[in-house]
Amino acid sequence: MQVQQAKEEHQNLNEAPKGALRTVFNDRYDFNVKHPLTRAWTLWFLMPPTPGLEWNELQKNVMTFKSVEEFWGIQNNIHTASSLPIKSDYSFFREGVRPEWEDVHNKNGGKWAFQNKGRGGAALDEMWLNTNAVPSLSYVSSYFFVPPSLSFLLLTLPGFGRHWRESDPTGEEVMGVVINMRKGFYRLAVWTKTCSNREVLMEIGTRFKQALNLPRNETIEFSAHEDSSKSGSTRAKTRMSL
Amino acid sequence: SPSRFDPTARPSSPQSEAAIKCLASAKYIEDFTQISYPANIKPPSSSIGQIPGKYIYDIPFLLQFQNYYTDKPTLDWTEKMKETIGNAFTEKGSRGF
Repeated sequence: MQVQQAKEEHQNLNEAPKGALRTVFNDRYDFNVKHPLTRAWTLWFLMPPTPGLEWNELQKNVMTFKSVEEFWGIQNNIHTASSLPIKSDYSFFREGVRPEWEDVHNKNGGKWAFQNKGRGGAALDEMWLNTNAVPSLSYVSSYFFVPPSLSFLLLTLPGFGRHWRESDPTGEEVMGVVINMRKGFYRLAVWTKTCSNREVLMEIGTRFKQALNLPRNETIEFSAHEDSSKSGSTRAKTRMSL
Repeated sequence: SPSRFDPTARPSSPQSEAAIKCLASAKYIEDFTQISYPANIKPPSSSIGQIPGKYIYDIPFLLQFQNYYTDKPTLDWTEKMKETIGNAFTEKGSRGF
């Protein structure tokens, strides 16, 4: 009797009636609705320099997506960020915007960046694990933190969650996020549309720093793409820091 | 709940194919009040922003998908990976310092 009851309860929990709207949580192999994002995002992969390819041919558009389910499909089936080859990048950018200074959408913009030594693996994992500073993450189990996760940044961005931007001006500013893997260090950055919207940019920087869960003595810095393009990527003047 | 999986070791199966096809054909949710989540799933929040009828995907909500949609995002994903990522991750000398 109890077994029968448990069985029925299980069915009620996991199976929506046929013809109803079923999410991936109702049936992983027979769902008919998915969770939309506020806007579409594109994953880009910048290949390391390759003989025979021009610089702009190295930037590869991997996939554009507009649902949470697609995002996890990508995230669960690509190499982790910490395993990126030297001189390569992953970027998540708004659909239609290339992750380059030269893109017209980026020409007045800038970026908040955090740079650290090494490949990130263990160091980043540790930062993620130190969850108490981000209350919303305090109960997330440790498996999430195994791949240093660009996805984590993306998930925290305004504009990713549906309808967020209607009440949040930061949603209009954020163009994308990028991880650069370089010899001896990695850099995580959030790219913004302007350099002038100071109050909103500070809010984005604050959220970014919270998402990284940095110790107090670590800083993130804001620089303008215009300055970076004049002075080379690593020596741009810092306009703000947090 | 579904177990954790290894993306590099995952064989394709009829179930995987079914999931990928669902992803392609599923419609975007328009009215969240029509969705009933299983009891073990924390639904999206309707309280942030105080906009009636609007829902926010907070991080705990988003993380729940990680073990529910584990299949490739498209049927041609393997070919797509070859075209875009190629052998960048396995080139000699490209890893480590």
